[in-house]
Amino acid sequence: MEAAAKASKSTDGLLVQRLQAGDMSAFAELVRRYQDRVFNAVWRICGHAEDARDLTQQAFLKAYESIGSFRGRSGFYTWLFRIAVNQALSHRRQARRRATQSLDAPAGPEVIGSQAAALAARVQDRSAANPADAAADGELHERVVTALRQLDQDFRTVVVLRDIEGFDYAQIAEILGIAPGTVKSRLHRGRMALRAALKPLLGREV
Amino acid sequence: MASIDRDKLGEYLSAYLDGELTASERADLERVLAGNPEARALLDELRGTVRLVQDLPHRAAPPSLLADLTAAVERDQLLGDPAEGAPRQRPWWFTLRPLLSAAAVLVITVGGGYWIHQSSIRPGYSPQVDQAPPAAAPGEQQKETPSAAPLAKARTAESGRRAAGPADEQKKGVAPPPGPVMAEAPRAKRAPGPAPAGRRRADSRGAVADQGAGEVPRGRLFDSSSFRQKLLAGVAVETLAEHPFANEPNRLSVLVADDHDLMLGVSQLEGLLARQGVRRVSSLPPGHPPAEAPLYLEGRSGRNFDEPRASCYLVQIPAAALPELVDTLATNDVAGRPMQMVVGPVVASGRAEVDAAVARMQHGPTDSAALALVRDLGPPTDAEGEVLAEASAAADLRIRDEKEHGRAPESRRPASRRGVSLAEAGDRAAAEGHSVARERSPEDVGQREASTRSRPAGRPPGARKPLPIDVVLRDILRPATDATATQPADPTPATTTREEQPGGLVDRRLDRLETKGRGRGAAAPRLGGDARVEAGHGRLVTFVIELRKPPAEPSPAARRPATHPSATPAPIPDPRTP
Repeated sequence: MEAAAKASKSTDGLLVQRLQAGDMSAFAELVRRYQDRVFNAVWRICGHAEDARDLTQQAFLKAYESIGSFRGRSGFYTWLFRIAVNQALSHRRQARRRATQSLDAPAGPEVIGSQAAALAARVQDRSAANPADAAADGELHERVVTALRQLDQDFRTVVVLRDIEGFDYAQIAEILGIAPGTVKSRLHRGRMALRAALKPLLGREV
Repeated sequence: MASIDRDKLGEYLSAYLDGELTASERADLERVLAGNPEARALLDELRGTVRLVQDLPHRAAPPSLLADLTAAVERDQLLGDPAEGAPRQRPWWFTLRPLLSAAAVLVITVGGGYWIHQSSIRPGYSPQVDQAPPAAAPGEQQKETPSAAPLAKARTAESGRRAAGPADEQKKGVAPPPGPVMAEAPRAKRAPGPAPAGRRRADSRGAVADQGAGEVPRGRLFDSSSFRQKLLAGVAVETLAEHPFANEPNRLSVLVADDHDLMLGVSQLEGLLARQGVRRVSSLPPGHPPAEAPLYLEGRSGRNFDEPRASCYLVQIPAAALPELVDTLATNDVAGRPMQMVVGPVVASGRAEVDAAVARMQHGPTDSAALALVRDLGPPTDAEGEVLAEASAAADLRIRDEKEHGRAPESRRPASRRGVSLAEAGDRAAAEGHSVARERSPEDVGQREASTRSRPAGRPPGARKPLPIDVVLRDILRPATDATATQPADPTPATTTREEQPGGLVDRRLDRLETKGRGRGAAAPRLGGDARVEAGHGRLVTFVIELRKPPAEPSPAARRPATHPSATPAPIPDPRTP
């Protein structure tokens, strides 16, 4: 497993060198290699497939544009993920701001009835699962996804990077630009929150 | 709880599950777990929680992601991306959007009527390809995306240019790197195989007719606006996937687009290509193996309102022959007006950048390169005006021939109406000791005069003693040093020359752009910048060259045309390497 990872990293290095030399086929190969993982992680972080698609594309584009500055101190995948996660987090923050600005003003019990409030809440929280996503995940998965989405963004991001993408603490720290101790703390708190939300399901799992 | 703090127990349990504890920490925790059922229960619940998250299904990226990315990268290359880390800058022409919009309305109104009128007397464009270069192997389909020098390298050059002084740069009127100005291009026959991603997208939208193996491509490449219009309009990224170069590997693609300078640029280009041993495909005997000689297919968009006379040349040329071609293009000015060169998306600092790109492609892992050569023709000279008139007449005749006779056999048409290029005519004239003007038939003269009459005001009259084309070309292609010595005095002389520094070629041109502007005549406004987005108004001719190293190239000597035995390229050191 470790040998495979080393081989993959080595291949990444060669592809990056080729890309830095202007070989577009290397870029295509890197995209093919990592697009699914980046997309999936971004999807889990931002919670919306369409946004995840755009963010994934932006991440690859940014990586392409910045490939000249990539020095290989970290793995390409880690570097790419740092870009993607930062994009996703930034996007979430902006979306939240937009939603707050557009929905807060008219909000009021005398103006918005219960249906409208529910609709507003759904629009405000774009991360709410759409029917297609929910169906794909199934009922069990939907509950897990819902619990995951209810996590604080910082915790969710760490949980996704660790439990879905399998990064180790050092890599997560590098991706997020935080200390490894913070990673450990956030991960634990995120998992504890998930544990509380998913407790009814844990009997079947444990 | 031994040595583990109760408050930290949860974190240790998480880290334990993840294998992130040190040996001593793990030993401590395991001792705690052995004597603490609550801790064991919590560990189990955390493990179950992690498993639930890990079991979430993975979702694959949308299948179109790669194609979209390719299109986006291509767009960035064409538009010229801002330097890394810098905020995205609008192209210089972005500030002229209101003017451009008004101009577009005018052009569409007037040109559309003209186009409709022309369409009523001339059928649609249907380029015929006598012999197509070999299609790429299926395994190489993915490589068909046009590639340019890497943004990283290009940005280095860009950064260096900017570091030289933004104010100075502004003063010199540095425009965004020129991108191709194109409307449509011919498609060569293609071998069966999976279509490249960009092409598939196009096909799926029905914008491009299906072109199966063996079919001769016909019709417009796009279903509506030209590539240039899309570029100007802000470009939906996906439309650029249909960029004419996208699916033409192993070819050097050259686009010439400028209403009045087009044929002059074309004639120059053809002359240069001819001198490099590059021959038109249709001029080869049947069965001639395309791989043995550099070839080009001529394509022409015909006339329409958005690209009055845009031409796109797809040239297949061995990588080994590139240095000489580039050298020729780089060291020959147009009537003393130096040429701007672009490697990839960034304005190169001169010949050194071109050499570096070529060297990278030839001797490194890079198998592709892109060059855009922009020639500032400046106000036309009398001789050029004559060439333009000749060219216009030739173009008119060719268009009319195609309309009336389709692609009539060469033998059925008089020599002067075979659509021969000025370069060919010039070559032939030089060989025979004649000028092209002497070969003109009365019909040609009539066409030429009609064309001359239709030229806009401000253009020099064409009623002058015609010069032999080869003489004109020699004048046009003379070295910059000679041209500099003979050119008219410039109100603001160039501050640098090619002899003074490697980037002088570009610097001189930029100076000239600022001082002369792009219009015709002395009263032309001093706009500066790049006129490529204003085809028909400026006098820049843009050559966009994209090419790929053939996958398995025989020795340069074996592939070099016999006409250029001395073209064996010596390894070109990267000039930036000390």
